[in-house]
Amino acid sequence: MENKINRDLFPGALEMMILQTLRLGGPLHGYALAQHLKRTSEDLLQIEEGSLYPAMQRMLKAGWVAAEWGMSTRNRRVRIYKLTAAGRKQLASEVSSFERMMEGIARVMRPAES
Amino acid sequence: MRFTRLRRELADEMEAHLAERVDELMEAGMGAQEARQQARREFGNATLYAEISRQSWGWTRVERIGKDFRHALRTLRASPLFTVTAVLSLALGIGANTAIFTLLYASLWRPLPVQDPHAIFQLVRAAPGSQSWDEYSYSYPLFQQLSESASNVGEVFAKGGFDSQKFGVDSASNERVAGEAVSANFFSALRVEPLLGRVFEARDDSVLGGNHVAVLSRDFWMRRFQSSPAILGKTILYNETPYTVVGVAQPGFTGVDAEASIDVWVPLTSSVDKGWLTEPNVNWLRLLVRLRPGMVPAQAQAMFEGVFRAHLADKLLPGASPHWKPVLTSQRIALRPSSSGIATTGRKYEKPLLVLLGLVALVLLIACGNVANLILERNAARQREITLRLALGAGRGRIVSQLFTESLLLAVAGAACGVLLAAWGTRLLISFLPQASLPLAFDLRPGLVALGFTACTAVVTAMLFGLGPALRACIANADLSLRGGQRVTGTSLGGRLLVAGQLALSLLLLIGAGLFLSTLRNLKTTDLGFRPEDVLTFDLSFPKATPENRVRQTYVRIKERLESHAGVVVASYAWPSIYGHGGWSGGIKVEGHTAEPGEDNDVGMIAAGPGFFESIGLGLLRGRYLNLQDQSGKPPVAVVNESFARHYFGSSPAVGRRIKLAADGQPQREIVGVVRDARHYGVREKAWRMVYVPGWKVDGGFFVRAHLNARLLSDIIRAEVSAADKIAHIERIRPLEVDVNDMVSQERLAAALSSVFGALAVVLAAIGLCGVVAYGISRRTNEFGIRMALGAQRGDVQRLVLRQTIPLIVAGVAAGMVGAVTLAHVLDAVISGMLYGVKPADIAVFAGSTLLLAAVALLAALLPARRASRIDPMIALRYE
Repeated sequence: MENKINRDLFPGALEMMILQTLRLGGPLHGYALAQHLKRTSEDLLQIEEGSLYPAMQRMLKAGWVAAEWGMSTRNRRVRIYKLTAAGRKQLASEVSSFERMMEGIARVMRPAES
Repeated sequence: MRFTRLRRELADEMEAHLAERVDELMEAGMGAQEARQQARREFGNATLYAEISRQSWGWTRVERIGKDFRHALRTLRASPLFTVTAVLSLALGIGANTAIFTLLYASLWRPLPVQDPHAIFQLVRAAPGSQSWDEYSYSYPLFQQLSESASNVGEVFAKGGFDSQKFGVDSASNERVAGEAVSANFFSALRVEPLLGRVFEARDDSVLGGNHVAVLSRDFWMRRFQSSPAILGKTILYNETPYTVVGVAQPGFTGVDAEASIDVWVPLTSSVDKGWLTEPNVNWLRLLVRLRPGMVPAQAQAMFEGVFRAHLADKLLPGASPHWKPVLTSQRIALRPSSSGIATTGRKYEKPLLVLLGLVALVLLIACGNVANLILERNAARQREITLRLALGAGRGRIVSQLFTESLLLAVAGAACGVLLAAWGTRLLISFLPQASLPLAFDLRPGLVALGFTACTAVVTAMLFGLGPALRACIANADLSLRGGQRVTGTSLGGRLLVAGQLALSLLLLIGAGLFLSTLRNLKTTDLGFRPEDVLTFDLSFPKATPENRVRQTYVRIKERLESHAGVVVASYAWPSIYGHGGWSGGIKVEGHTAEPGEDNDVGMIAAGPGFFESIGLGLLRGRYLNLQDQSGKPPVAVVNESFARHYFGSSPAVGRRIKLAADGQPQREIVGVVRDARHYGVREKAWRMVYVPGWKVDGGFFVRAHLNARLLSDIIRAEVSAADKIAHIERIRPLEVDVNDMVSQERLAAALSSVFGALAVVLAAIGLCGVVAYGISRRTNEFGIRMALGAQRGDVQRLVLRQTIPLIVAGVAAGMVGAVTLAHVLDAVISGMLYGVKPADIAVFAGSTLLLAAVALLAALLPARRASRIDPMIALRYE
């Protein structure tokens, strides 16, 4: 069922982007994170905002992010996520494997240029 | 708890997300309604995301079980008749199992509440083959010898028998407590600590004549002295002797006998005549040992055996009679594991209880069969629902687990009711056991072990009756049941097999019950030689210092006073007991009879008051009974029984011959009468050679034969005893038949319970059969309708139903018969000992049980068959 929802992304892509966002933007709550992803991708990615939450729960469980309750700018009680050391390590390894994969795909797609 | 918190937090978080988005959209100028819709669209399916999020917590399994549980509860509540029937039959089965297990556990297996009970063994002085080998088998000198030489093996400790003892605080009273005498190291060897004061120490046994100190059990101290700490140093009267209370034992410790709850302990040396402490021929002690860590029982046993052999050669054999010597030399010392204490009663009933546990396990199996059948039927009715859910994509595993949850719930409810039933049932069981002057006091508090047993039984039963139908429901052909119209003919094979199995098991139970009932009947109809009906018996006790003459006069006065009542035929007394274990025996010389070497010239003896034979209804063969005149001992006379006369005199007359009793002060006695053989030592015992001498002894029992009802006669006895002498105290008034029945208590227990369970099994199996036949008919309603519309008669339909059912009954009965014959052969050794006058494969019992079961089964099949024949063809066809 999960695969259907994130059909535009490969497995782990959402997590990788969330981790990266947290690394660059510092601690964020769910809504801010969603908006940030939307803005920076310039709406190119079709992500339902709700799909963030299963990903957050998985990463919380894996210990890549930590969460605590705080206040949003509109003064609403929200859960704020921040990157942990384990998350940082995970991000690095995912980025490197992602880059290898992209390179591989690129070579296949444009064989003449290589 | 954690789960609900996580769930709420996630919901809050998602709610906040949506609210933030709505705010932002409204700030951008969108209307509230529109903004909410837009926010939701962008968010996606919130419920689905929440559920996926929850999956990562690993709680889904628990959540699913909770859901299944609630669903099962709902469906069970929706069909109360089914639920009540299932729960009740399970409660009966589980309750019966729990009750018998509880009694076995309490009487045999409950470990002593002491540190490391597995190091405790009983020293059993066993003459292989004899009956009462573990009763008071050690003298004090032998105990001391074993104890001293065992110092590197372990600690040997001793106790006398527990008994009901007179007790008082300031003055003598008729209050009774459970008391026993123990060696000074009893508590320290067991590792029982004092709760208050101290327990016994070595010096308590070393004082000449004994140190008169006492230790109380915590329960007694709480009950009798309201837990007052002032009890220490207080003087109590125990067995009419003053003792100083020095301590209270640790909570929970009530002695080493499972069937007794001891109130007061006193040191061995203070409890008996000084003579007993040095006399090697008075055996009154039971010995236990706590082995040192690492000590092998076999090694310890060899050591004890060596000491015992030396003691025999040294002290016992030189003075022993030629008759007694081989008995002594055949005795051995064995170590019996006693982590649960001495368990005399438990061991006595172990075999019948284990056999009964097997029987009630069968009853439970039959009950499982019924519930499984009920569930099969229900699932068949729900087949459309199940198939539909399968077709809609529900996993088979989910459906099986859901159906099984229902079964588990039924089993748990059954177990809960069963535990309540068992609490009552265990007490009922104990009421079958003979009560002595000290009532049986097993520790029946439900413990982890008993509850664990019940829980395991419940889970196993649920698997037995639930898993099969649940799996079957899912395997059923999906097409067939979705296509509507229940045009299914015939009953399910599973249900039919179950019923055949139930019939087979019922036959086993019926045969078991038949065997035990015949045993009991044979025992009860065996001629005892005397007639215990219409006789009340009671014992008397007097304060210790009462002169013997006064007691003797009281006996005579009571006899006269009782006989003055209209309705009282005759009252008399005798010593020792006239029925039961033990007795009075001794050597004899018969004038004109030369004893051959090795000939057993010991006879049983009873000192009988005037009217004794008339009171117990012991028939006279020749000569005369003992009369009042004979009591004076001038001239000395005796009455003997038939066996005696036949052994010593053959066909020549016994009356007028002379005998000399070794235990007698009289020179010679003349035989004045011959009476019938009475089985004084139990129905299963042979009739011994008996000599009845006129006389009276302290502690003699009374026998009152009367045409009055027992209650009225008891009142008369109480009034007359008190009028005869105020200080006389009546110990127990009971019908003589109670004593007789107590001797067959094991058989009574087995017969009563096996017939109750046998009947229960047959009823359960009949209900099962009836249900299966009725269900089969209900599924064939339209077929029968068509048949009848086409001209079939009622009889034809009945025959049709029966023709399908009879093979089932025959198969069940045949399987049961094969099982019973096999069991009778396999268990022959175990069962034969429990039977009397009937063989394990008794043809009459087998035939009777089979006929009974077949008749009940036919009846159970006939009832629904008759209903089937009354089907109205029109209604049946309109079903279509």
